[in-house]
Amino acid sequence: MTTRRTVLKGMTATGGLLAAPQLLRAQAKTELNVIWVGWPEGHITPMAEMFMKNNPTINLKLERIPFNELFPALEVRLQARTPLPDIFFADGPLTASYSIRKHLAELDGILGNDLSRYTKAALAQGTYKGKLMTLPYISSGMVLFLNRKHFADAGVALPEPDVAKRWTWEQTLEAAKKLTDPAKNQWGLVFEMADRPYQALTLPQSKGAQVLSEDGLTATGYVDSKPFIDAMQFYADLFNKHKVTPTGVFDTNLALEMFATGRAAMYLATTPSLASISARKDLDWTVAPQPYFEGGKAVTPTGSWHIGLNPRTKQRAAAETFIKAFAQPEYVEAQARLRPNPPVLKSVWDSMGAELDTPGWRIVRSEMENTAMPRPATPGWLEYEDILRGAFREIQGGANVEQRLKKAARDIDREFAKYRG
Amino acid sequence: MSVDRRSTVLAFGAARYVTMSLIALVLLLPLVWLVVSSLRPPADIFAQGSRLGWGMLIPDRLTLENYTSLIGTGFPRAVGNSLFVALTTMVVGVIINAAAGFAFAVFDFRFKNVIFAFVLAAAMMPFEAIVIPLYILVQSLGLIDTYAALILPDLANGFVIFMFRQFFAGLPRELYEAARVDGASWGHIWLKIALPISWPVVLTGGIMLFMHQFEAFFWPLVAAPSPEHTLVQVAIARNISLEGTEWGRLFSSTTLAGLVALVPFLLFQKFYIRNFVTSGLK
Amino acid sequence: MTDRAAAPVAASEAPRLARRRSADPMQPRTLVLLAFLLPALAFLVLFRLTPIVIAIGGSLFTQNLAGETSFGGLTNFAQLFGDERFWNSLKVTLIFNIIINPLQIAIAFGYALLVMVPGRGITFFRAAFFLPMTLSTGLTAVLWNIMLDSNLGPVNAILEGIGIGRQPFFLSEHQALGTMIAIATWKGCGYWMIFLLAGLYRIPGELYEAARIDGASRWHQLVHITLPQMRRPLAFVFVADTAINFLFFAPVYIITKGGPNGATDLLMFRAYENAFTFINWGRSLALSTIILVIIGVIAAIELRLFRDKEGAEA
Repeated sequence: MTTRRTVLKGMTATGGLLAAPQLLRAQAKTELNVIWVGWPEGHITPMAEMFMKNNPTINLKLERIPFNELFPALEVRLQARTPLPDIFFADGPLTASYSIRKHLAELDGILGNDLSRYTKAALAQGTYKGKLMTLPYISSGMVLFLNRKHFADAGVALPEPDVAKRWTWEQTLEAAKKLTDPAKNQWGLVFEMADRPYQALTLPQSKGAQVLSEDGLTATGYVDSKPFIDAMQFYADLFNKHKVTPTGVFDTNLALEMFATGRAAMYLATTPSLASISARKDLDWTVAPQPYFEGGKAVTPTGSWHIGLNPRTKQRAAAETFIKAFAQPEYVEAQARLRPNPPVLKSVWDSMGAELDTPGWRIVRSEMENTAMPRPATPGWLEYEDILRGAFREIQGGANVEQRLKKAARDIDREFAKYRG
Repeated sequence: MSVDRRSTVLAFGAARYVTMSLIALVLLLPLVWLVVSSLRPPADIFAQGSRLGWGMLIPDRLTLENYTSLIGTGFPRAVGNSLFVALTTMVVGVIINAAAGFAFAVFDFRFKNVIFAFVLAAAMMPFEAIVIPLYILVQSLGLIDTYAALILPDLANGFVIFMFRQFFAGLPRELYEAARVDGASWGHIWLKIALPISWPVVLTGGIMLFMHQFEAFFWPLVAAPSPEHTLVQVAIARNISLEGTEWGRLFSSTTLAGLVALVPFLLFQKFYIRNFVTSGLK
Repeated sequence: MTDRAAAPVAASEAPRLARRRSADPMQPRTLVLLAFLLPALAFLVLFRLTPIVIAIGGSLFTQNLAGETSFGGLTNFAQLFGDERFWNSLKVTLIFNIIINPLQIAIAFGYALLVMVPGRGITFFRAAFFLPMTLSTGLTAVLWNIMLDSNLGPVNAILEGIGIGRQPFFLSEHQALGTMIAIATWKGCGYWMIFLLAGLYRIPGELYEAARIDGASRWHQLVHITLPQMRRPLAFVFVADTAINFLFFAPVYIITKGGPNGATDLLMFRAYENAFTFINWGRSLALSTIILVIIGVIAAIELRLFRDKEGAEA
């Protein structure tokens, strides 16, 4: 101890002139507490370092919360209604929920009026009652992954990676029947998020269903509407009647393994799979756009992480600096390079050039502009999602589609009562 | 000893070992699968899963990559944090809970039953129900994101107090009476008589407190989530994500954490021997 | 046991004791009592009682969105009692507990008896029995969810390989709760074993020696010596195990979300879901309060059962 202290003393004495200003600056630093969704360190640390390098007076204190626990952990922190965290990551569809409960500060005044640089769907997801409440940060999109070997073995022609030649669900089902071989534990089609409305809602939407009332407060008449029921009957038949899709694959990472280990010929999944599947060297695969219903319209899911500003923050100026920075194209681009999610700024699609010029990303870019539909804006998204998840699971398991959706609609409306009051 | 008697004893011993081996097999197989999976390259983990065969337990390709890659992450620090928090809680917690348990077992005082009911209720209340008030409380004490936030709320533990009460109440009362008659103070009786003849119980209380803290997840996540204070279960859970769980690291970090958690039990189980002081007394 | 009178002090000893203090020597002075109780109680009051009072108070308030509360009395409870899902959850919770508590304790007792006597390799077996406990509940759920997966997991491969056939486990309304019980038992028995072991070592060896001399069988020894001597440790294990199993929910949250068709819809999961998904703290706290009351009632019954026998024994 003493030796170290003497050494330190010596260092301060000799480098006193250099050390003193640094020490002062360190003390003057503002600390921002940021709750970040629990991505791998490598996706976050470079972004934080980039920000701190550009804003030397601000020190970021990061908390990486694992995805499964992000909502509960944020709930504890936000419901405690304290000044911390200053900044937090919010799932896009929760914008309304956090807004109505006063956990978000308006961002309109901070960003000025130039919001046209954002993709339409991303902006819509971050807006509540005409005000931008969460900053769109990254987005998401889906493509259909195809195992070339399975298609060749079954003698089925591959769909093309061209949105103009999109397969219908009916075509997809016919192909899936030929690609399924129960004896080899080989399935025609696997969904990445088989029970999550994020993915499943695009089926009723493709049949023209409106999945929630305009004000986001009524499910009856929407979740149990004819096109919704018809679409979910088609979905149920994939599992039960045609048996081309395995039931019970609810873990997104196990779904990925189904495709990556050659147990599924087709895999409908989000863009991070473009990276994880590329990493599997033995796999011969290609992509196609997400199917749509014959006579219906093409709809693809979108929306992902946004950034929220705690209205109770004691570091308002620094927090605003953070929001402004992460709205800059160079931040959005840097993040997109670290993490395979579609960028939310139109300009970044161009500035990234070659990296996004692959068949998969070309499809996603087109979908973002034409078919992407954000999840419905409702303060009750968590309830809506949870209750529908339960319904979709049971529909997979063979429950009567119409009855189960009617029950789900009733359950949702009951939970929504508190928002109508 | 008759031949008959001896063969019964032998048969009994053999049956005991066969039973123990069968149980151990059922308990350990999933863990063996976990360890083997942690030694596979990520792409191989699920390649063998659906067909019965040796491929399930014997990897085609062995790698330590899932372990070596943990070094650069926050995992080693998290293990250290958890050990610090769990051991501190264990040492301090055993002392204060054993003292309270002793009081409930030996002393008579007013409202004893009411107070004891409260002690039990404190352990039985769903933690998730009190997490927000607790968070606000700890925050107002200025303890958020400190080791104190992780340790202090879990030092006193209703179940541990209850356990100590049960065991101290089981000691022959003459033991205390004799010492009191000789003029010993209660502190002396507790420290020099009750605790020393209760080693297995003290160690069991220690394991309870250690495991409670080593498995803690939700509270550490909200109360002290910064990298300096991350606890082991939180660090492990960070490998799970909606898009892209790191199976290899999830399995390797789970394996290491399990082995660390086993150490106190391994050390303490040696002391599970019949206590001669008590057997001499009754 | 607690209200048993202190031993009467022999007359000849009275003067010596009186010098120290006039009261009963088995009764500590207030200061001594506080020194024993206060450290633990102070922590419990601060970090448990205070939040509990706030929480139970919260169950009387109705839900609010902007952070303001309004007193609703027992409306949260009334709404629950009028909800069929609540009654299903209560049923599932009671079935789960009626099966898992005796099962875990019986197996844990078996473990303890098996590993009690030292012998070759006993450390290995003790460690093996305890090892599942070293996984947290959440990780246990993640591990078993993979192990039991119908397409990727090894368990179904084994079942198919040995001719039993693939089982749906968590996907079946009829198997899901049983599977939950099985994985919780896999994990938990080693934990309860350690308390029972500590209790077994408390039993004076002479009791067994005397019985052996009388020619009593092992079964007779177990029923007439071991079990009666184990009442206090068993009372603890019963009460603590009951409480912990009523609070069990992480695997439900991670794997089944209460399904299929409500088969694993435990009350504690509902309390969690209402708090963190339905943002309905009033209802969640009402559920937590109900859980606490149920555990309390069952614990009181369990303690009473063990106490009566103790009274007879003493």
